Amino acid sequence: MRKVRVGNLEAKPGEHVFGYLEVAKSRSGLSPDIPVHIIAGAEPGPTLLVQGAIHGSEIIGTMAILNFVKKADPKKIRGTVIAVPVVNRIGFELQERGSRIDGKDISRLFPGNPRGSVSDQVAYVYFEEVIRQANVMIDFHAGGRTAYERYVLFTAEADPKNPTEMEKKRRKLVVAFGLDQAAFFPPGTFGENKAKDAIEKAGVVQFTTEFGGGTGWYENGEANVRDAERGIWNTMKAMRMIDGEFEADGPLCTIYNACVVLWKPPVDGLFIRKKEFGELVKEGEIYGSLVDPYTGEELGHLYNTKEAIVIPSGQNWPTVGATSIGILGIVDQVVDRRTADLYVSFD
Amino acid sequence: MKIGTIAAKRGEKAFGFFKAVETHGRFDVHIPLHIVEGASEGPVLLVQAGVSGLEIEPAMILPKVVAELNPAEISGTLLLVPLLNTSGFEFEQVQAIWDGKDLNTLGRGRADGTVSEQLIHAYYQQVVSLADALVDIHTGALWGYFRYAGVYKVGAVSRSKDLAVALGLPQVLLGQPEDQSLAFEAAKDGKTVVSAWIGGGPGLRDHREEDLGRVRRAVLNAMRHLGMLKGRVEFEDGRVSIVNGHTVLRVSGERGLTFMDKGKRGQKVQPGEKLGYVKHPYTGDIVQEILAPREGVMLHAGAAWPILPEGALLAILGDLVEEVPAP
Repeated sequence: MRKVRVGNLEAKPGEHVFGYLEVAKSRSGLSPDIPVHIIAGAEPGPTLLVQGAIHGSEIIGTMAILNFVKKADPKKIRGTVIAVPVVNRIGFELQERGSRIDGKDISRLFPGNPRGSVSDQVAYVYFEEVIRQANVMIDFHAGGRTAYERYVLFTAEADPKNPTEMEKKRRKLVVAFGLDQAAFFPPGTFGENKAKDAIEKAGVVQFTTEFGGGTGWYENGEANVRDAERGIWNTMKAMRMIDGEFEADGPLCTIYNACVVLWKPPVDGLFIRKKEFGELVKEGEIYGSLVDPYTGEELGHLYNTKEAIVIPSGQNWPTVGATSIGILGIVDQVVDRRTADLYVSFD
Repeated sequence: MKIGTIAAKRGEKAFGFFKAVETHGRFDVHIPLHIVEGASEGPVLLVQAGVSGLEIEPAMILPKVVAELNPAEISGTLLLVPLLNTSGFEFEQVQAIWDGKDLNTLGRGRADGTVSEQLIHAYYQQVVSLADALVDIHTGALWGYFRYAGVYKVGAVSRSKDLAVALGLPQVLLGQPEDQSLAFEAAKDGKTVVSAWIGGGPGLRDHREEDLGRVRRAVLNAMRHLGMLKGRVEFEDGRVSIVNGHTVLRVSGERGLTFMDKGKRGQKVQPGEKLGYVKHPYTGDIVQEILAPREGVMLHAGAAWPILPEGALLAILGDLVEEVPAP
């Protein structure tokens, strides 16, 4: 067994090491070095990367990772877990999605650029030193402070009838994670994503969780953190890094083709959502409305464009920016965890 | 009643923008204002919300409350500002955008001050000064969650306490901390003043409708209590607990991820009892425990989201002094 090295950090088999991965320096000398836990298992096995807050205000995964690293015992693990509670430290500090240091979204910059801006350099070092080592990468996202979400998101198979080995593994892991709902966007929904392509070209099986958020925190925060952590343990079980039974929301995982993305209509005001998670919405029905904040007059409606079911994703806070504020889907597959094979191998 | 260019005769409603000043770029700095002029004489009640540009949920219901009121059935005048800090709302921040000032810290403003100070000065002189009573509605913005009515211990304390009870929220705080707000100035001027703290972002998904209902009930209850509207006040619960506040906990010491125990809201806590903790954001170590400095009842108030701005309220403790049954 060899030591695990992540940039300037190093862990021997059976060790849990915490430190800051040196990435870049800004003009004022600010170093957004990335906090990294290396949990180097005593026995050989695959490498799992769990990362939170690459969008700085999306911190449910951060809290789950912190709870996870307190419990993970490297002596009982096969392989390595690299756990990164916060990738985007500037955004985390300022409670913003991107990094104000250069206005960039690190999640869109992979494989990065060693001669670019600070975020380009962060992405480059992180990609080379962390992401490239992983067999599987769980990227925790959430609704920031203004939304609430609860599903696993993954990239659609290029050819659904002939999925690649990587795509087969990804679908298994998405189900193994343990939520009752998952979704993929049809290719091209949000345009080209070169960062995701780079990660896949590096041979990393990647999926995203859209988990929790500020507007549901008061009632559901603890449950979401608990279930996000449960998903890490489940993924390790699926990768055979630990033994144990899968734990999940329930036996079934419904996978949606997220074919409807609703954007704010061209009027502004206070957004009031009128449809709830799991609700079937007909084409042309009103999903939400914009009202005048001073007179209460309805200024416009957000109409659904195709009959579909509301995926647990969306805005609750009354002001909305240039972002999607509703996602709906049709059922692509329902997987029964009691009979499905959820194990993946990286020999 | 005529305020600026907004005028309503007896038995009429009017809406407009109360303009105080223009910026150097010639943007109007103004406040949206509803006037509901009752058919008969009575007190003047000012209801205002959104002094912070991030306390915006009351604007989802206050215009509807105005819409449902029939001036023919009202005695006196309701002045209602659904969202005072329009520039903070526009740019999604607590402070006004024009000068970075927190409108809740400018007292009664200054005629020769910054844009925000001039705004508050004009508002205080031409709107607040007309009111017999003020209900100042706040929320927890993006990080706190609240359900109580607060009363300052200056001015017309007894009348303010009675109005606070009448709002019907589950708790009333006597001894709301003195501050630099225009509400505190109004209290010092002898007006009946209550701060209604209702809702906040962390509870928005699960409690939006009930919180908007609380705002509506508070306004209608205030009008009933003041004799402006017929009918009895309605309490949320069977009683309102009156708490004499003695301890305000704010962010201090270690920074990190802050977790407060919401299960202790409304409960009596003992000295040294753990109310929350602060966790290191990268290692997960507990770096500070938040303890009750003395015995008291914890208000339904304070931080909920784990990342808090400097100075954010964590919790309020006080002694239970009275329980008022529903009328």
